[in-house]
Amino acid sequence: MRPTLAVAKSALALICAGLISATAQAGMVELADDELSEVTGQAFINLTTDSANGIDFTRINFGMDIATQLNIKKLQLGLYPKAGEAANTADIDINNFALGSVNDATGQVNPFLIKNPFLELAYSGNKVVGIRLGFSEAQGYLSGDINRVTGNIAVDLYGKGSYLATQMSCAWYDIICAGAKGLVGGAYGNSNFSAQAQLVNGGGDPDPSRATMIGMVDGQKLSIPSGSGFDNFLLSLFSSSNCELLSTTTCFPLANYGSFPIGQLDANNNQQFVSAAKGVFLSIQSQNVQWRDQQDAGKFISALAGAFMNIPRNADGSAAINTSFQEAFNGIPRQDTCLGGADRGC
Amino acid sequence: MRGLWFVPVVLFTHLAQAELVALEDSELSAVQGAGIGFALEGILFDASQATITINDITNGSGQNVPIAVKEFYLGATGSNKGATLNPVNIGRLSQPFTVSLAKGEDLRSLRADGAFVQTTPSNLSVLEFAFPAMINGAGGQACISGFAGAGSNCSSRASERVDMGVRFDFQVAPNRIDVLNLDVTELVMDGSYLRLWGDSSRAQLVGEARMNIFAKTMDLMSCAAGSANCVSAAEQAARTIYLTNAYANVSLGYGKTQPLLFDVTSNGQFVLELPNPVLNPANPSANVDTRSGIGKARADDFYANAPRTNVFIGNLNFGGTRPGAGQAPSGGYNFGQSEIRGLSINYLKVTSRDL
Repeated sequence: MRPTLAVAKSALALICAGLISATAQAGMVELADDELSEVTGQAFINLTTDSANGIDFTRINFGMDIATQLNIKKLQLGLYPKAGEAANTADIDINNFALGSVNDATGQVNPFLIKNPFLELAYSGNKVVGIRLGFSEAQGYLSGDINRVTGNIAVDLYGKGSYLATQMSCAWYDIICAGAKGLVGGAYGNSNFSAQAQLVNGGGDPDPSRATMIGMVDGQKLSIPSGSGFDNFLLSLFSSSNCELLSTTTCFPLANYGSFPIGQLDANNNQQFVSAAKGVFLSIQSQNVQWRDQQDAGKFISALAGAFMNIPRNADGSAAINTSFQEAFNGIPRQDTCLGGADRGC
Repeated sequence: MRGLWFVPVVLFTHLAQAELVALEDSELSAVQGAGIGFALEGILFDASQATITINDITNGSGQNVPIAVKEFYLGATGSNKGATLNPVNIGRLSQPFTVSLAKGEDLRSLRADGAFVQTTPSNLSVLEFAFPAMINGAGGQACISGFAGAGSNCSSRASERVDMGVRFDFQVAPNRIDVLNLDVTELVMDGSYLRLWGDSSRAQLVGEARMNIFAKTMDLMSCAAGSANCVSAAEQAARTIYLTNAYANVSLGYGKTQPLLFDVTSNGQFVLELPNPVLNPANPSANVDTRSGIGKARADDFYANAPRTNVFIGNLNFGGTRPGAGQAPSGGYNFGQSEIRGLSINYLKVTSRDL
């Protein structure tokens, strides 16, 4: 097509559009000034401020409901030398990161839900010392091949005594262990045991910086939430030490966890969430910063200098991530996050 | 010169009305304007004496939080944060900005492996607003000077990049103003585009967008020069966040199977959506098996050709001082390198709500 002809055709199309619109003009009614003054934009953004512990905060709040299913081949934040950490490691380092999951048979996605995200700056005087991206509510699967994580990740482990007993490996001379194993697998075989877990090192010490393991910190005890005082008294006699409790391993490599459920899963449907996690955020700061807890305004989350991921306990004390002892020992299989053949890396 | 054609055409339209016949959709889809290409020569913005105030963003109590926009400038590189402003040419006649009406099968996007691929549907007229193009091979320029990691696919030469800056003052409380003062050097946005077309199956305007930002440095200072604790070079440096060798390729939509949808609900909230690329747009609730057949073909095509989003910061530093122009700072807190690579969105729906 010659350029001049193309321009003429474009002009013709514009004129046609103008002529057609003329027929519709009669339906348009001009707004009076007083009517127009009543029109206001929707307030989906606002700014709020806060001050605590000598730090001023300014937060930009976004009124939004977000549903998404996405994949990121490489998520690496804060790759720099850090005292006490292995060389060439990052604060947060996750390959094949994903939010939400898919069903290849139906082609449908199970989206990750986010409500009211916000961006917050922390000021020391007039110096910015931290930035955080937070979510009032988050719900869905978070998947990834986790290499390192810096942050606060609260996990509740739960499971039947009958399964827990199978993981207890007692030496032949350890009478106490053998007795406990008998009780856990026998009298308490149908009881639901519970334990709290967090980021740890291989010795069972809390390790919020560039961690590679999650588990029970030294001194942490098992409990039976629905058990009697006597039951829990018995359990309180035993605590985790050096990633071991009654000859049972209590710390697990993060790499074992292909997917974390963020929020409370339906006990009978691992694709159905019944409630969202509150207070999830990702931040970066040049000094340790006490960020206000989203779900309890009287509390603060202490974020270490560097990049930091917070997946905290809910206000009722339950963890954002709930996983069974069986999953902890065997790992949590990754949810399929890619449509088509692959389950990751798409 | 081409614009003069419109004058006689418009003058004679009242005489020619009787001859006008509506174009069929198939005929309209064949219309392909040559488009308009332009370069911006001798551009210099200096609004250092001007202030624009944005009102009606509120705090938690509904009170106004005025935002003053100040000290905007845009000029040639080497401006020393706007102190030495010179005009810049952005784009050139061989690699211009373009506004065009083109057929979908004639538009291309640069894939990560260097191949140019079609992302828009065929047999449709697409309105495109585009920055100077990306180039693969001869003639390609480093997108960030001295940093190979950003690729050598930009068409803009070193002299066609800009320095720009702007300052925002947020009156967040009666006695508190938060300042964010941004200075960017060697900014180039080659390969960015916005494409719009009508989707008959959805009966709405849809599109796809790509925004590429390459910058040698970005400095974000959190105080107003000359104010308290912000006078000396050391004070200002301590209150600056430095990004060095930073770029972002933000991609929204893959026109063939996942166009970007815009909508507004009856109560005035906006909705932005990237639909699932394997589903039938006319019946999105119907299942499509992606393990084989058309479902797998759609998924494979989407992952192979849909543009992805990448964000890369070669160096992020809070405080410290740059030893030389374009160099990563020393001192302060060095966060090193950060990146989000290969972000692909299978589904996204964002709906605004009142706070």
